[in-house]
Amino acid sequence: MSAEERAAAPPYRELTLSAVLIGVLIGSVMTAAFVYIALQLGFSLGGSTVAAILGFGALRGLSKQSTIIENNINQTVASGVNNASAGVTFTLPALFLMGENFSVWSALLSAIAGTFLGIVIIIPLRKQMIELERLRFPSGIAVASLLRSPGAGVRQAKLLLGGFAVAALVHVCAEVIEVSAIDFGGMISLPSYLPLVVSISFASVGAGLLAGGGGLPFVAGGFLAWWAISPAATLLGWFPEPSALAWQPDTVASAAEQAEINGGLLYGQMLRPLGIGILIGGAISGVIASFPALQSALQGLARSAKAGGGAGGAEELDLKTLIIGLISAFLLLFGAALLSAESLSVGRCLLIAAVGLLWLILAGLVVAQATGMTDISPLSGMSLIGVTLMFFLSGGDSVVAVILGVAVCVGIGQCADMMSDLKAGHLIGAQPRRQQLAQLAVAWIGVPVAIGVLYLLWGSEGGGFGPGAASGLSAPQGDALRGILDGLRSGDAPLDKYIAGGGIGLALGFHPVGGLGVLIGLAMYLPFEVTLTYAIGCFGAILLQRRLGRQWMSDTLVPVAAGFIIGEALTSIVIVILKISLGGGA
Amino acid sequence: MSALARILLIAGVAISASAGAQLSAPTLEVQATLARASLAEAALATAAREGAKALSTVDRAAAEAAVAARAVLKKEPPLDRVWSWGSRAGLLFLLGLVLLIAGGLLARRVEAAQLSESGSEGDAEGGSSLEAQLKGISDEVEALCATGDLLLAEIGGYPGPNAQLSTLQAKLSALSAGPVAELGEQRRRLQHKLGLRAFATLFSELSGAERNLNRAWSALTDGHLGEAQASLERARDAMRRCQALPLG
Repeated sequence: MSAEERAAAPPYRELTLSAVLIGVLIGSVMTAAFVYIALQLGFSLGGSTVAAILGFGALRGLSKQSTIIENNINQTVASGVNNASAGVTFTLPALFLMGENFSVWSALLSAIAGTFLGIVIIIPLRKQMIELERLRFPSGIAVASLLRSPGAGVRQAKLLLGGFAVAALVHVCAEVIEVSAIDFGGMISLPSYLPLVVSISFASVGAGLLAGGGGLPFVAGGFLAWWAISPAATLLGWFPEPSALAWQPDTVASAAEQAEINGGLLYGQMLRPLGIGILIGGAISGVIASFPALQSALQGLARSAKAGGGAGGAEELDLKTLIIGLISAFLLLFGAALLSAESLSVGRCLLIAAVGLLWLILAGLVVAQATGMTDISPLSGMSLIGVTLMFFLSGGDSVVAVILGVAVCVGIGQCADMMSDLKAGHLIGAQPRRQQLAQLAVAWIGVPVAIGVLYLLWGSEGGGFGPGAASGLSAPQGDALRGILDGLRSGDAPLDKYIAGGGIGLALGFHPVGGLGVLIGLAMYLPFEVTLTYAIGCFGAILLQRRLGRQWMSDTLVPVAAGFIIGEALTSIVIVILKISLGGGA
Repeated sequence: MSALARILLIAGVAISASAGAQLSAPTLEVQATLARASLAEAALATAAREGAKALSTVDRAAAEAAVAARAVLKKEPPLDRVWSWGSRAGLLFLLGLVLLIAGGLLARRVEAAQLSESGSEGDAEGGSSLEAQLKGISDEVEALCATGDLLLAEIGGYPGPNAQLSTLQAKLSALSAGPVAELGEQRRRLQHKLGLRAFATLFSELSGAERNLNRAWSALTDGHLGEAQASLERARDAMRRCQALPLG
């Protein structure tokens, strides 16, 4: 190809001002809306698919020369900006509800530090997880299918739409009849300690279909938790005796009451904290196992910095950016710690910032790996540990714990989101460097938007959200965090479970299958119905691949599964907005 | 051997996780007190709804005492929890860990033996050796580059969405979903064969080529043949670097 011929073509649009501005606009609107939704429902929504669809229309409207990759930048920016909505809303409301005085600047600094950290720590991990481990990131595949749909041909577009329609229809029906899961165990009279419940979620089935055989250890972990530990705990008497539950003399708790209490204890006090420990141990053993590859990735970044980008080097952000990002985030965390508690010494603030930084890196790794393998992110568990660590390091200061917890929650959410966007980018051929630069430049904008909306909703006289608030915004996550902080004040932290889980996670690192600890830990951390629904997808994919071959899987199954994920995600958002605008709550 | 490794792994995880899940006696007592408080709270709520008759004076006093017990509850400090759990389930937990580690090490040996066997079989057949696979992909990318050049001369760098581009696009799709994906699926075998460092270098280049093939596909969809051709050339260069690596 001659230079003249190339010069005749206009530049291929990728990192353009319009893509970034539209991404910021869509992301900011989503942030404001999703803060409101999260305060009402207790969960937030991912915005990548919405941004990709809106961005396609907006970019095409601005220029007929807009490209698939330009839309990927728009979608990356929008979901990066929107990431602050979950991180801020799950943590900061606890301080409002506790009536604590805190500096808004400390919250802003902390959340912005989390945003930057979440983006920069992904720089060396991208190569490891996307290029070497080739993790699936089902949502990334779904977004890539959506972005590629204009050129994928009529058949693939029909399959994507078909998957979308099935998932949307089933989700709407489930919402109308108010059934979120089917209890097959109840139908065949299985005892309550042997659950067999499948949630009605085509998105989970789709994620399982895309993960295929790689998701089987996750499924095995779910069966271990609920079909081995649960009956063992019940039959071997690891729960309080019925007589110990009687609040009045000479009575015992009913079988139903006892089953409910045992179920709560099993999940809340045994499996979930043990699962968090296994996740952490599994992630540490994963870092140890892949250390040579990580080292090679870092050396590659260093080489590209020295060479000023060489062969392929310019496509990746360099080691200098990683180091500057880490130092800047550390300073921001230090500033946030200083501002949030005047009584803390400088030395203690330095310690808090250093541990916060290290925890965020480890938790980011866990969340990115879990999202890559299963599409499910243990964000709340990792944030909870972050808050607990900060609570003890600050000598029991709730304000410091929550303010630094904001950084952890925002940062690890950013890791999972960025990694998923980078996977989508890889599948459509985007340059990671440009995605990362766009995200670094503007993702922080979501932080002031989210915190601003929070203050606005709290109102000038306060009490705008929280349990029993007239607005109907009960802030369930913030209230739960308040309860956890109350528990921490009375010394309630399941350290034994974290240590036991950590040991199991580390020991699983001896097995040759990578990521085993993360998958088994995640399965113990989640309710069984999520795992079982995912299992349907995994087994379905294995059977279909055996019968129809790999080509059929990529030509037919991938767009259908992507349609499942996108269909349910978009329908959920529409239903929530409809419910809220009609005043019905959720 | 493989079955034994699997049995050890399953037994190890099951035993260690079951022991790890057990609660210490003081924590169990704390949980029982909390459960009594919530049952009593529910009874008081029912009484409030159904009127005073639902609870006798004696029962009401007991319920209020059970709820009040929650406020003064002393929870087991975190470090004490570790010790009391360890004394209850520590030995069983350690036994599980030993089985788990033994299963893992055995599985590593079994996998290493299997990978060596499948690697030498593949090499003996010649056709599916790594070098042959890399050459196959490289040849196809070179051919795509040549086709792209011809098309470029014919219709220019920015023809817009164009039917002539679709043949090239179909070939790209087949290459990505076929030989490139196939090589990607041999990740574990290659990691074992080449060692982690050489594997990382090879797969970095291969992924770079894959990403540029994907970029070429996107550019063709957008009718931007110039960018598609530039991406194909980058993919070709990456594949040449792959072939030049000392893969032993």
